[in-house]
Amino acid sequence: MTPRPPDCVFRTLASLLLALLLVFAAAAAQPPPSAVELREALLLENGRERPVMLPDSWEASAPQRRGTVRYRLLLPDVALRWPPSALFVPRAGNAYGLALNGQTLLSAGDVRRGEGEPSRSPLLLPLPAGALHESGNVLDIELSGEPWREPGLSTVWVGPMDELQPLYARLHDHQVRGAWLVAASATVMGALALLLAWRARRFVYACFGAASLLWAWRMSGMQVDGGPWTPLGTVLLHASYAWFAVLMALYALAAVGRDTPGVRAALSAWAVVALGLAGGMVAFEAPLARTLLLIGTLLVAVWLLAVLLVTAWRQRSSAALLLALATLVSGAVGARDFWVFRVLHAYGALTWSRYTILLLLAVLAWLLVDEFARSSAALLALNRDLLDRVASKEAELQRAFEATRERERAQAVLSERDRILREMHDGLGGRLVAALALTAQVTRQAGVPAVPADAPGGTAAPPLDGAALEEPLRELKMTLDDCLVELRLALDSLETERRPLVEALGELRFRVEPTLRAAGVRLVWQVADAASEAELPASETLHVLRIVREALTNVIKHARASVAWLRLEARADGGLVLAVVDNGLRQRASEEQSPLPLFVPKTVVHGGRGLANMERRARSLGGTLESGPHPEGWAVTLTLPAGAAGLPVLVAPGVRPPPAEPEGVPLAGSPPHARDDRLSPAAERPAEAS
Amino acid sequence: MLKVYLVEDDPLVSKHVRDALEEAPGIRCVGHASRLDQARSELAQCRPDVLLSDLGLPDGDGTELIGELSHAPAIDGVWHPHILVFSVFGDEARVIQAIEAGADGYFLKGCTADELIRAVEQAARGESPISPAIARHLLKRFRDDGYSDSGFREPSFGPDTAPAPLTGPMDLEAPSRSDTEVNAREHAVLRLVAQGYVSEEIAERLLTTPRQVATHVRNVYRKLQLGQRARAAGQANSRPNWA
Repeated sequence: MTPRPPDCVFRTLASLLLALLLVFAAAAAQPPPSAVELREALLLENGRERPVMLPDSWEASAPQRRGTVRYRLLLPDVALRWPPSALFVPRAGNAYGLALNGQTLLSAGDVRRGEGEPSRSPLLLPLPAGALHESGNVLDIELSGEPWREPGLSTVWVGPMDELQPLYARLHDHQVRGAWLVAASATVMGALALLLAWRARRFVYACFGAASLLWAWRMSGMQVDGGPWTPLGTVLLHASYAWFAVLMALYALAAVGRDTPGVRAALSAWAVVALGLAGGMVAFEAPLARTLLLIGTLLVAVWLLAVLLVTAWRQRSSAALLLALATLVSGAVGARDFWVFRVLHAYGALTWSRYTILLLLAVLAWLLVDEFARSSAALLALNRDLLDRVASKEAELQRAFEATRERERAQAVLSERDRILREMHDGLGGRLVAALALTAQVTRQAGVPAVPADAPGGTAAPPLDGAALEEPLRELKMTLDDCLVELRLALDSLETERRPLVEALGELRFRVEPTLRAAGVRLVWQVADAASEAELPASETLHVLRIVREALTNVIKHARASVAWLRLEARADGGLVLAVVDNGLRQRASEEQSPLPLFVPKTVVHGGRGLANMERRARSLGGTLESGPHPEGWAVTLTLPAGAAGLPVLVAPGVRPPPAEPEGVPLAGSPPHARDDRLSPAAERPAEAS
Repeated sequence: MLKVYLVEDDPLVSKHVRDALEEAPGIRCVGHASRLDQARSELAQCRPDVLLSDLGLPDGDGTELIGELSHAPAIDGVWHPHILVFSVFGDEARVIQAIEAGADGYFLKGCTADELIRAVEQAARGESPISPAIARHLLKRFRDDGYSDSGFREPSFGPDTAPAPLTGPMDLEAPSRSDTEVNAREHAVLRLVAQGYVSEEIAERLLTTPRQVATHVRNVYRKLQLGQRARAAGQANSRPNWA
């Protein structure tokens, strides 16, 4: 608990008390020297005459009296020495008329109509000079009263007008303006509290709002002159004092969290008892009931004070302390009023209780502001806490995400490296081993140690048996060429960009064409326009290229062909058909001058590891590979259905209808393009363009 | 007699090339340098018809030498060699840089003697070799450089409408759009090359001769050089002068 709240509480309370003291000090100002306060009167009642002391409260002197009596007052000469003289009646009720030396100054009806409830409004009346005698002036006050409406007559002032005017003004401020001020404040704050209770669903504010409105009603109800009071109104008016205390007690206890069900029940019971006491008072005209009601209310205040003090002590709660102090002040003021009105029966005295509501309103306002500030701070803290937690969660997520992505990246790099290593090992490695073997063979055949034949220096190596060396050297060159092609293919497969399969095939052709040409095989390129845009990912492209290369290598090694066709066609569903066809059989037949064999000799069937490799690659692409003889030679056909190897399933516009042959069957010998007819296997081999 | 000058620092390759050239009838290797500065000092005297140059040399890049030769005024107004650069696989970007600098083509390191002789003879005739990879790079280059708004259409198979080969690098004063953009015909050639067709097949498909196809390729190279120079000039003037 910070030291600030108690400071504020004390400061607020001190200023409130100061304000109240100022009001009372003004009301209890010293009387002017020449004005006289009349404290004695003759009471004329039922034809009898007896002296009474003023103030005369009927509740004390004659509780059962109802109707009209007459007070006769002797005006001292000294008070009338400085005209204009005036008469000041602080309080008289419930209705009265005035007559000076038998001359009516004011009839009862005039008073009622003019100023509202007469017992709550002071009266200042100029005494007409014509009606005044030299001495022995007599003032008659005809007073009619109703029991339980506090009838009676206060002391009466007579003296110079200018001396009595300030007294009247002060009392009027207190009795009339003060009452309306209190009523208005209580109404506004009560309405606000009820709204707050409705919107915030808080019982505590409902209690305060109800109490506040009840007090406002009580103030205005006692202030307005509505004629004779109804019994019900009278009962409610008296009970409202106790109810106000009950509601305020509920509010205070709820505000500090002490409104247990038992406490609520007890207070409600007291409210009912208070209603009964008020009813009994009216029904049996028993002032004792009203005294009991007021004492009970005071006891409630004392008990509440005790509870609040204990709570303030135990919980170190500034709200409880503030409420306890407000209760203490209210209780003290109530006790003072009780003493003045119920014990001393000072009819003209001022009531202080009505102003306690201002103190309570101030406390409520303070508590509201305090609660608002606290909840705002709590909300801000909560918000900050939430933001911090969200931020930390976000950072955590971000870290997790980064870690995952890093892992994925590392995994991708690893698998890519694995793939490259495998490709290198399978492709390049194998070829280099073959090249080494060939070198060894050449060395053996040449019978010299392995020294580069054309070392720098320019002198040629000793002549060897060229014919014996020609074949292995040619093979060595082919193998090394293969190595370059392998390296190139592996490097190409690193490209992340998708590119048309046709272009990859074109580059492959560019690499292998010299080898083919050297082997006497002419490659005929037949790419259908519809297939020229088909794209594959780099690693899939590599598989296709390897298959084509293997097929072309087989053509060189085994087929003894003069022409090889590479055909790429698009299927209607978006798939691709790639075929490598040679004219080996026809070529062989024409060379050997023998008819085409009825069956394919075993020697022509190139299978083994090469074919198995091609099939494995085709499978991993999601396609099928067919390898077999056709009328002119050998055909290797790779069929990639749509969706395989990253091919789109979409049917591109302009795709040619599927070929008439069933899938998988090698393409017929004659090429599809008419202008390629002269390049068909049957045609003689055209001369190399140079 | 065709005079050839060789710039190559690898003695093995150098020997292989010179041997191949000397054996060929009608071709003579008039000089050989293994460094750029040596080549610079000897070229003006030798005045070869064909210059064969490697790209990576001990004292610089062959592209520098090619750029100097192409930008310098032709000696005596007549001499300007046909330039071929050595290429190993996978260096298409460097080859295209060399072509932009003024090279007329390339040949593969490690090719057979026959192929080398053929490349030299073709270059001397004004034909330029091309590979699918280079064609692909060129297509991408012309597309990326914003040439596509007028030049790229499907090839038409009408009569050969290709413009005559440009006479040389001298008529550079005001490169027009058609001087720096490939036309439909040249685009068709590039596309077919990229798809794997060789020049004989392309000629057949486009109803023209292989030689004409090679000329198209050389024109494409020339346009690449002009575009490069115009771009450089445009950068210098802060505004392209054909825009």
